[in-house]
Amino acid sequence: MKTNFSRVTSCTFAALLILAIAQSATAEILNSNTAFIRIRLGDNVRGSTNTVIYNAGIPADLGGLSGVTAQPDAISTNVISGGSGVFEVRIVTDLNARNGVVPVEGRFSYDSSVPMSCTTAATCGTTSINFDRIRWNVRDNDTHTAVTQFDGTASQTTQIQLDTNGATNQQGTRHRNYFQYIFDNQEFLPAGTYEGTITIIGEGRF
Amino acid sequence: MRWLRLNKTLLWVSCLLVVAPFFASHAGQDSDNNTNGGLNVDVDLNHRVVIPQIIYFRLGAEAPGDIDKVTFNVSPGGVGDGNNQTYSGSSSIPIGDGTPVSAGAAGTLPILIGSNVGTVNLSYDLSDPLGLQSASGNHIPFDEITVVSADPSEIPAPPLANAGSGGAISVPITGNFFNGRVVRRRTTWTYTYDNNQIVEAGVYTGTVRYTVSAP
Repeated sequence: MKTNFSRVTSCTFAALLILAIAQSATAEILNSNTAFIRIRLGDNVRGSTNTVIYNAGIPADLGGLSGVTAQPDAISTNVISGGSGVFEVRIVTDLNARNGVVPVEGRFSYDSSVPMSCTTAATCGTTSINFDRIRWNVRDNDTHTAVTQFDGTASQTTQIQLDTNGATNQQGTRHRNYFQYIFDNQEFLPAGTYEGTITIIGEGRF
Repeated sequence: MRWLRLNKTLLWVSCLLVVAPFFASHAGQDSDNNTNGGLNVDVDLNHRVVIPQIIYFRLGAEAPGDIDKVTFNVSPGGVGDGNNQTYSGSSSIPIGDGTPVSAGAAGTLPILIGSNVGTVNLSYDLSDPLGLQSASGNHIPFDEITVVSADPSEIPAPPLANAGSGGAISVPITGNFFNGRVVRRRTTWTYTYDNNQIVEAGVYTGTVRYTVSAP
């Protein structure tokens, strides 16, 4: 029994050790002597792209009809792991300069230039919706606060951050914020499902 | 030794777990390490907007559930006031003489039709297939009532006719926005009693129910 217990304890210790190794990976990178930039979004899973879903109601421009209650804001309804409460999407940006080398400036921007396109051709055909119809609220005001709405362009600057710490003590800079996205449901659009992708771009310059 | 073998195995697994993501495609996460040049990362976020199918329809009163009543009073020239009336010569009794009678109330009604599912059909059905009915059971055919649209290109008015008499009872309302996928049309309809028949005195009532539907 004593031997078995010891083995169990050893296995448990091994498992904890592995967890510690896995957990330390992020911290280790942040203290890296290598310059790096990183974006983590939503559920933070490589190979899967999160989807923010808006189930629109009666658009605002039908609100003038008697008895019709318009719903001009269509708040995203899905909950993406990594978010918090109504702020469903988390964005984390890490930036680190190389130890002993010049600081690094990180520039983050949105590319929302490709509109959401209709995926149910029978009802909405080739109709598309520009991304400037989507705005957001943030919870922590810690990053990506320069704008509050997509502008439908390929380069919309959202955050500029400078990491000087990494150049001296290998401490990178992390920013994090939580987003609640809102579709501006103003126009009476053809029924159907529209889908599109925005890209968050990060560039580090020495 | 057993512990060491286990530990080595677990370490390899943990290394793979840590390293593997860096060889996967960029989606929810991206990172770039570079000691010489610039750094570049990008991550994607999909957005999906679901627009529901909506049809709206208003004829007459604004309040939902209200039913307008178009009233024709075919009693000109003192007819029906209890006094004797004299008609002679070329004058005729203005009942059933073909002189149209405008509605005394609610004769012209606003009509609005909207849809985001493309062309819709406007049709109607009748409360009585024989026409407007009096308390004594007599009828005035519905085709004695003419409906004229102020702008037939917006919303044409289907002519009224008793059920089974072959009248058109359905008209398409085509879309005018987003390549025909959205209908937003409005105009007014005016109802007139044709007054072509001499009928028994009384109050004749009937209901026309209009329906807008997507095919």
